[in-house]
Amino acid sequence: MADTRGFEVVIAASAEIVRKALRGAWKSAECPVAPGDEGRIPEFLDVPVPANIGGYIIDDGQVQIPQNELDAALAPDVGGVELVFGLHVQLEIQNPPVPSAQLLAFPIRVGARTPVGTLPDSQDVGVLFADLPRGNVTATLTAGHPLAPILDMLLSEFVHRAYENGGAVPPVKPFLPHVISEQNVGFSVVRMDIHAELFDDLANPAYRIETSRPNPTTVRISIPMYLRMFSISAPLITLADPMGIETRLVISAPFETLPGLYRARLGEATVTVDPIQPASATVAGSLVEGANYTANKATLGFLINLDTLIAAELTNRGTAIAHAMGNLEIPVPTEAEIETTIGDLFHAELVRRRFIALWTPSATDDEFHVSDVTVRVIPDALLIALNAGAGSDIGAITGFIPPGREFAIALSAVAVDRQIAKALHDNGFDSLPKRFREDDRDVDLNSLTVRLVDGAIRMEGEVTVIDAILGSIDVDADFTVNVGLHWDPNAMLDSSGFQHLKHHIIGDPDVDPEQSVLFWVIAIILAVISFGAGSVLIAIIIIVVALVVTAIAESIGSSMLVNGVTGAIEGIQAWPSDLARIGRVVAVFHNNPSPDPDGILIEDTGLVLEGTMNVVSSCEATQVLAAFSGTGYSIPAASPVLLQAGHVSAAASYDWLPGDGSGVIATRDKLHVYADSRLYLAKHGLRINQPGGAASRHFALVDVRNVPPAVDSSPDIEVDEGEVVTLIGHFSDVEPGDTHESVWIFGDHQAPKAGVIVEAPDGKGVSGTSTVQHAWCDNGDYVVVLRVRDQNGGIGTSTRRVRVRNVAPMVEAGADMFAYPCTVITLTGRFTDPGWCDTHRATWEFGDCTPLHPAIVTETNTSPAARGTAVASHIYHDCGVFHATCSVSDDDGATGSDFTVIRVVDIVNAGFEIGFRPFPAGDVGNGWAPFGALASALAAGVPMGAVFTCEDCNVHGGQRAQCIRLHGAGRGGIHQSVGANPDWAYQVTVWAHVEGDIRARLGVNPDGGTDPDSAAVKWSEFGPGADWGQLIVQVTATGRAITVFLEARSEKAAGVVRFDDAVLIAIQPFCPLETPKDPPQETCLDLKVFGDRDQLPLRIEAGGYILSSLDGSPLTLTGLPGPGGGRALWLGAGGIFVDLPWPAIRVTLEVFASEGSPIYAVGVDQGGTALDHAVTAGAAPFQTLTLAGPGIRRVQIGSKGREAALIRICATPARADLGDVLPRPARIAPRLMKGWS
Amino acid sequence: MEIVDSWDELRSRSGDIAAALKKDWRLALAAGANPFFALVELGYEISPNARPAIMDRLRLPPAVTKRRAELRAAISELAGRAIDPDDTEDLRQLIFGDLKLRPYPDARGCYPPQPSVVPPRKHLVPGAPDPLESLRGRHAVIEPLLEYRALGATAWPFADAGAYRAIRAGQTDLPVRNPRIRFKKRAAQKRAGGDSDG
Repeated sequence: MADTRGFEVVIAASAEIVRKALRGAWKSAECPVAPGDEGRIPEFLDVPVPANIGGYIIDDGQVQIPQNELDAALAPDVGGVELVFGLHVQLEIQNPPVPSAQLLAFPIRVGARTPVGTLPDSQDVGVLFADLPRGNVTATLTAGHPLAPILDMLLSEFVHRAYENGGAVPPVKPFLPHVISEQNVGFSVVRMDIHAELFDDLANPAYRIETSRPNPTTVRISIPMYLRMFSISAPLITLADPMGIETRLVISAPFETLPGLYRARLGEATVTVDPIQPASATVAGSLVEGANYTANKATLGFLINLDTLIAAELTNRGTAIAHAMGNLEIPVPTEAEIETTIGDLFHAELVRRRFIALWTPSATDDEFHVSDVTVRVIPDALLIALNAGAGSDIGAITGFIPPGREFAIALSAVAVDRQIAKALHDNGFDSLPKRFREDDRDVDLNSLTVRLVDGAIRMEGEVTVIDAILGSIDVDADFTVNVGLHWDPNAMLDSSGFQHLKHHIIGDPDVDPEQSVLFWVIAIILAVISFGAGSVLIAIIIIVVALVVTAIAESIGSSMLVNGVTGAIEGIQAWPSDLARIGRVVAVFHNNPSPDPDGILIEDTGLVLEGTMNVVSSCEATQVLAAFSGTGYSIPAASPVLLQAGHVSAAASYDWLPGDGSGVIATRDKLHVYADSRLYLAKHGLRINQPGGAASRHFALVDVRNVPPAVDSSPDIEVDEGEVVTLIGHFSDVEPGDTHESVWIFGDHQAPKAGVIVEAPDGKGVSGTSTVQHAWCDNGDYVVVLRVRDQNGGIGTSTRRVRVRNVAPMVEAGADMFAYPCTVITLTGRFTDPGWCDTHRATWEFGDCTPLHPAIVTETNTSPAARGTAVASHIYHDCGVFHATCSVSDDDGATGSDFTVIRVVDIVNAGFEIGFRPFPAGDVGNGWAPFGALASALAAGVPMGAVFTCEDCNVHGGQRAQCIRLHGAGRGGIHQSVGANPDWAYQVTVWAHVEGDIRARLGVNPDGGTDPDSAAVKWSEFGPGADWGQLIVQVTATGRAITVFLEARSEKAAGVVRFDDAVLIAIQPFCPLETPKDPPQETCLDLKVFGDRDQLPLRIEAGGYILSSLDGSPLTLTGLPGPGGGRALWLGAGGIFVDLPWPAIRVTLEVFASEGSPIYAVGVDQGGTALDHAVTAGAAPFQTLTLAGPGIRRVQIGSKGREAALIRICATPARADLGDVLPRPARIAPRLMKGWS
Repeated sequence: MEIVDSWDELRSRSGDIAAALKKDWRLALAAGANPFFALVELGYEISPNARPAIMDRLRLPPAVTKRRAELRAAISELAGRAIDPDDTEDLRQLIFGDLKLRPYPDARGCYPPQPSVVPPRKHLVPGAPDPLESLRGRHAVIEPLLEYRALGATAWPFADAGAYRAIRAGQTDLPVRNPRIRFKKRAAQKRAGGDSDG
């Protein structure tokens, strides 16, 4: 429809024109022709930083805008267009919640609805940005949230980080523990200790945590674990110990995708356990644990299903772990926040660039000027109306761009008619008739009209062919010739860069004028009016076309090709050839296929010229190449990776910024080594070194995978059972930034232990040692596992074999003892066995030719040594000295022995039947010694020898008795000491007969003293009587002898006392100590208990331990080096005292010495007597000292070096019930030496 | 059917012919394309001997008509038998059958294909040369034949039967419409006196 509604010319441009201008402006982004950003669209952008996106800071960012993702649509509501920019954005996020979130990479569609109008101070038309409201710019993520596709990876990383948190000291929430230890755990009737390890070794799929989402609302975390069960006990059943299994804890929790937040509700998690498998040698060091599990499972099969029990227990534990982690939350920017950030960014960028040119005739022709330019956007076209006439109304113009065309130019009928009239006049056709001659005949043109009709320029008229037939017949005829216009060449430019508007006659499509029309007379007529160089049509139409072309070119500002000689218009261009700040336009006219196959659209309202165009940038030849760093890299730490430019060109230069702190390298491909495992962001730059070449960047994530440490647990060794062995394992790690923890599994039924790590960079990474002390309780061959775990969960494992030799028990037969004829004596031998898992048998050989006698063994089998007693009772029938030997054999056949001396004694000459011997005061029974009688006798004036006599008539039994005669007031007696055992009870009886007013007395001194006046002597007595009477005294020996006194005493009168048949009965105490229900256990004091305090008072109590400074300085704490951290107490210049909470038989001290100076420790008893001492050896900074002795109450620790500290102290209490010999109360004499007599 | 044996005889009937054409403008338009077919429709039959001369005279000026008659005679003489140069079959038999002519070989010794014997016609712009030019010099008959054909192409040809029927039936969209016939008696008489041989 060519109705220009009062305008002379109307240009209608489709959205495609805007799209091409937009892309041309993009292509000219960096063009050095009139440099500057105004009027151009960037190919690439760096994101201004710092910027904020959803609470995160953008550290860096780049935007690539592919040309083919630029688009445009008409937007009548804003009087302009909506430009669409397909952006490919990469943002580097500072402190991301998980590593992969550090790069937000996403496509985003930015739409800008902006007006079209005349550019400031010109008649040019363009898209206007300068006053673009922010609200007119929208950004839409076209592929959804950028993190959604990698959500499973984010969750995996989050869980992995939680696992890494579990290695921190103390662990950082949320965390998954690496090791869980529990004691005395019950599985039905079975009790055991457990050691559980959770793994997340990314380098080993079998021991890697797998995180997935089986459906959008559930997260599933599968954690590989190893469960070691040891110290297993069950009533009436013997189970193999230790045993181990492997399985996976599977945590399933509700998962929510909320705006800006991913949440796994671990607090509501349920846990299941995968099928239980016997522990492999990979984790347990050998197949023993797994085989033991299988065997135990079979053994218990009649009673319980071990798999089921363990699975149930693990389910409970796993549930507790999951719930303790709390909700797993990953905050991320929301889609709206991302869109807002990008929208802000791009709005500012567009405003800064001000406009995009669409139609800039002034750029082609400086002198271009039309009366007026009116712009309007309708749904299907951007209208540029020129030269408004009276009553012009752009609002009434409808779109007239034919299908398949990008623009159309309407020339009004008024303007065309004006050109036709001028052509008729210029050729004399405004005055008719006019004669022509053709084919030797005269032809008269009688009338002619030329006008626009729908589809053609119509020429109508009448001609007469004179003498047309037989020389006498004239033929008059009307003619109508419809003339079309077409482009030559159509839809392209000729070699001069122009197109020519040419005419053609519109006729029967089937008629070829050369073959079917030009016949005889008809041909004559047609030749005159329409065919041939001299025809009427040619004469007029050429002029009309030239005038129309001129009108068009002058109106739209395009170029014409004018013949320099003839001045004829020979060509035209379809659009102003220059497009400001972009380049040039190559536009071509097309014929319209609708009304006439080969012509432009002609209507009675005017002409419509339709066309297509291409916008050619001033830098069209400049290569556009975006940097592409690849889709990502994944390599092990410390291995070279080739960072490779994904897009290359001979015209490009490149650079790489690896992202690990190393500098920018100007190279296309960068072979780089990342020292430490991490997710890095490598940045790649590319610049096209051509005029107008752009610089672009692209980021790639480099997944530098963790490399587990290499571990060497050192060569096989042989040790004694019970021997505390220091094991040192070596490890190395290619990652210098890695720290490590370790666990030792000793192959026995004892608990695994964490090793003390000492590590330092070694130029090739980091290397170090793990040190631990251990004692095996039984002989055997053991596989020891050292597992070193780096802070990323990478695991290195090494094993070594330890052969443990058996050690015979050490026996202490006890102190020498006295025994008494026909009296039971119970001998107790004590033994210790460093192989505390050994069980024992024992015998006593009493030395009196009686057979070997089995002993009753009572023992306890706990670390650090088995302890026990071997008890047997015996009756010696005769006095004498005997060697009693105690032998103890362990269950491995080794025997230890000791003997003690047994002296069998009794009251000598107790019945006075074995003779007397003379003393000055008389005859005294052999074995006895007189006392006190001589003075009293002398005082009475009696002859010497009259006090003590051998009575052979008045006897109680036998033939003799001891007679003591007092001649007045006084005393006289005899005494005898008998060997005794302290604490034994002794009962002495003697028969006596008293004559006169005197008393017979029996005294016993329990300490063996011979002084009858000693207060220690316990007496009994009676006075005169008609018959023999019996005196009795019972004492408890306090020494190694008792003394028996037989005395006659008178205060005034003379008298006689006769003593006969003394009897000694020894009573061995037998009061077995009860085993405490809750015996004290080893207790430790870790200096961590004081937290971060640096200084303590001179004396401080903690956990029953009392720490005291010995040099008057306050106690000072320090932090320990190494990944485990920890605290230690400086020993200071004078050292420290540690008072123990109880008498201990064993004290272990973990110490640290950075200078290698020896640290000494001395253990003393209650009285200050040194019981044991120990000194560190070698230069190892972390060492353990052990002190042993009965009743250690205090430990003194010191060092000549200043850098020495106490880390931990443990004391094992002495227990009498286990045979520990504790210091006796002060009144008890020290233990007698063997051979005392 | 009325037999016409000469140009003069035909001219003598021009009044009747014009009157008949006036009655049917389609016939008049078709006669403008081929008068022979129109005469047949009007009940005239041109005798075969007069046909070449009348056809030439309708299209061509008298001098050209005369020269073409001389050339037709010369061609028959040189061919050794009567030849109608406007009959393509007769001409093909003569050149390729009787005389076995062929164009000259090219530089490589290869013979071009045999040329078309269809006569050239008048074009709006100068047309291509006569295809039989490639036989020029091959035989004496070629020279007069080429001249004969060139003279025939100096005026617009008659329509063939197909084109005639299409025009007659109004199946073509000719820009020429509504032909009107005007017989000029005086001019006919004048011509009859001065142009009797034509």
